[in-house]
Amino acid sequence: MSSASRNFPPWLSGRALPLLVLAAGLALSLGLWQREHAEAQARLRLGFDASLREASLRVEQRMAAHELLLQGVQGFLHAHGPQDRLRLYVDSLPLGADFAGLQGLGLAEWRAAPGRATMTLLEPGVRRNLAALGVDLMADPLIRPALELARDSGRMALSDRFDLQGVKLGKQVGFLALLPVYAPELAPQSVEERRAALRAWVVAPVAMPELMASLYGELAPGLRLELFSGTEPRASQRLFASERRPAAATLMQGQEYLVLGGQTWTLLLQADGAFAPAQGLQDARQVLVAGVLASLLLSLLSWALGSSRERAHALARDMTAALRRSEQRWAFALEGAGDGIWDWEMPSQKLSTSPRWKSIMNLPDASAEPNMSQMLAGIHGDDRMRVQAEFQHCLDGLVPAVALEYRIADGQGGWRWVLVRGTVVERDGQQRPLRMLGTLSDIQARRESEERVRFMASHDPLTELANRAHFQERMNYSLANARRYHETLGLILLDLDRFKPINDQFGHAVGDQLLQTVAKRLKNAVRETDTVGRIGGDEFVVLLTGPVTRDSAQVVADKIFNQLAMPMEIAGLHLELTCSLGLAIYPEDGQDELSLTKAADDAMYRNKRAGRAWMGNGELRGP
Amino acid sequence: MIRDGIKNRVWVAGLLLGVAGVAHAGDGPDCSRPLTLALHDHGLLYSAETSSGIDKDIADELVRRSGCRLQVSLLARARIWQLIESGGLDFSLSGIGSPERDKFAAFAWYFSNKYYLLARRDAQLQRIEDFERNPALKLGVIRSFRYSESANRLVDSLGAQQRVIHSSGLSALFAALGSGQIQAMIIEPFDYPTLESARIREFSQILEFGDQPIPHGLIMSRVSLSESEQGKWRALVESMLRDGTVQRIFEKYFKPDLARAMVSF
Repeated sequence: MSSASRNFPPWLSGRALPLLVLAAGLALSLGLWQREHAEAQARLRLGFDASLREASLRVEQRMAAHELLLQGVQGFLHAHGPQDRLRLYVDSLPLGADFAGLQGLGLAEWRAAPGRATMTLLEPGVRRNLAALGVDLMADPLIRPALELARDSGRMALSDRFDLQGVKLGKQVGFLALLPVYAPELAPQSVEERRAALRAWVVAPVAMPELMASLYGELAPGLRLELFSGTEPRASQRLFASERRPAAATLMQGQEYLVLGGQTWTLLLQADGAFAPAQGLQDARQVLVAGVLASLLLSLLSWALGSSRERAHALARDMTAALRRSEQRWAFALEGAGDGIWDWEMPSQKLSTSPRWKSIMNLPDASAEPNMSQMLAGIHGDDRMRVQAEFQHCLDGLVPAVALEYRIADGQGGWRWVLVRGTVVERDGQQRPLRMLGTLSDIQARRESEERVRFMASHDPLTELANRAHFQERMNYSLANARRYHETLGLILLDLDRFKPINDQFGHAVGDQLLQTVAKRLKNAVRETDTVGRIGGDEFVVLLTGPVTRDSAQVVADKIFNQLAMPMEIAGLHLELTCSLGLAIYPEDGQDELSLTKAADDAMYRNKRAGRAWMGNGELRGP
Repeated sequence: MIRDGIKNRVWVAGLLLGVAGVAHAGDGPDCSRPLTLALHDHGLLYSAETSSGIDKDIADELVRRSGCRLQVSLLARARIWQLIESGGLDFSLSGIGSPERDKFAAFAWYFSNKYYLLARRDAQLQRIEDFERNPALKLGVIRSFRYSESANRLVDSLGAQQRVIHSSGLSALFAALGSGQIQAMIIEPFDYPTLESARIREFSQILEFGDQPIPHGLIMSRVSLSESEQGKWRALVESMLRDGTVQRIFEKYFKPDLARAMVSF
């Protein structure tokens, strides 16, 4: 469906196949229905034609039967002549229902002189038939042509329709069937011979309603039959109608001309809606209904099948989108927190990283993903082994995760502290790691902040010299070290002379700058391994470590004294300052902090009392 | 089927074979049983009113030459074909073949003719095709009649549209054409005497189908007559053609040129 979706407009997307199936199904149904309908129509037409044909046949056969009857009388007269025996013959005929409509069989004798055809016999001799005796048939213009036709052709002729009351046989529509009787000895062959040989006519009055009623008791449902005299189906010429009520909506209509005994009858057959069901027309509609239903069901089914796939695709798209959104959220959260993400696939040794990760690692965004060896090379040498070991522990499953702080090259010759966290997220059946995920945080600022806090806790904020606590800690450490390794230490105490008057006179700002200048000169005067501290307002202390002798210490003290004695330019003021110093050497002047400090303090005060000069180990040397 | 005017008549031929010099005793048809032949009332072929016509003359000649006893009836054409198919009738005359009829009937041709459409002038036809195009027009035909190829196609096409009205006799069709119940009918040269009527000429026109003349002949039932008997009767008809008997019969009813054209096929 995805390809279909690309090929169809949006409104058709997902509906193309069902619509196609529906269209094909409907077209097929319509085609089948049309074919079935055409066949049904053909069957209907054939059925109707057969009914029309059958109706014609019935009339023709009935009239043929009547003719045979008349020929029987004709033959009897040829053979026997006398009429009295004809009565016996007629009486013996089986004139039952098969000859319904036949009012009797009789004879009209021809009297050439007056030109009359007088009824002289009509059997059975019931009262009604006896009334017809003596009637001159030639006098009736509707009968006369038939008499003449029968006479000239030698065949049976039928009169036109007329009211049988005309021959005194009751009021009913009917006709006369006439067959000539010639002189038996003449056997005429031409019209002239027949006219000369004519003796009489066999006469059979037929009542039309009775005749037709006996024929069409089994007319198919929905059919209406009418019989007319002549070729025009006019009501005035109607001989018979199977139903008195008007025809219902006519579905089909057909007519056939019957030429009978010189008369033409028109048989009109009409079919209404009741005729169609028997011919299978409803089946055609059922085909259409069934076809439409089947098409709809197929279309529905194809829609269900097609849309289920579409729905699955939609679900997959939703899930993918949700996953992508989730990834974006996590990435944003992590990136927002300043962390980079890394994904390490062990089998391929492929490392996938986020932009932030590259930023922390000083790699351009567009750079290729680094491999693990490049990663290790960028780690500070002091940290590398530790990092490798911790990662290996995690990969081996000894620890569930790693969280390591180490330094990496910052690309500018310096180092940057980072925090890496990681865990193995996928292992194979042998618990071998397959994939490891983790984050990388830049903790340089944090580390610097922590360093500053530690520095501030152990140093004098004005001079950035070790404060009393830090100095004591360093001194205790150095004493323990010296004690252990039998080394010497030197401790110098000093305070500034006349600092207070300067501070009072020029203000704290000048005093603070003076103290900072003193601190710098102190640091410059000692070795890097020595420790300088500020333990009071204008009191400083210097711890000399390493191989220290009293002489070397004295040199340092002299250097300090001289440095501090140099003039200072502070805030436009030219200041000169002196200090008082006291020196003590471990282990000679004291074995511990207290004794050593006391020895240095005593020496300093001795010097101070001695007139501002100073002498190592308390000895006065003179200025 | 219509048995209007059924009339059994017997023409008894002379018992002397070879009277016409055509066949001798050993080669003639089998006359050991009464044979049946039916005529149909159709213009000059046979007129029931006068009991005369071409077919009756042909039948008389067949009786005379074969020496057989033929029981002749007058039947409707449709009934004749039914009886020929069932074997209830041995012969009829002036029949034309068709693939369907050839299955149950054999023929011995003795003339051919064309078919024409006799149509009312108020149908306003220029060509025969115009008739089929106008659904209001109806065609009258004798039931069971077949014609030339184009005429058959027209009849079948109109029949499927219920535009054909059947009749058991020709006279009814002329009457229906005159009264406007039908607008056309198919005619043959045998119907010319009726066309001589001035009234019919006034309101009608004749259109040609353009097909080749269709052979007509003696119809023999394959059911009742063996192949060898059919051959003997066919030889009899051919002898009538060869010696000019058929042409002489036709010349009684048609002008000599038309008669010669009809029997020369």
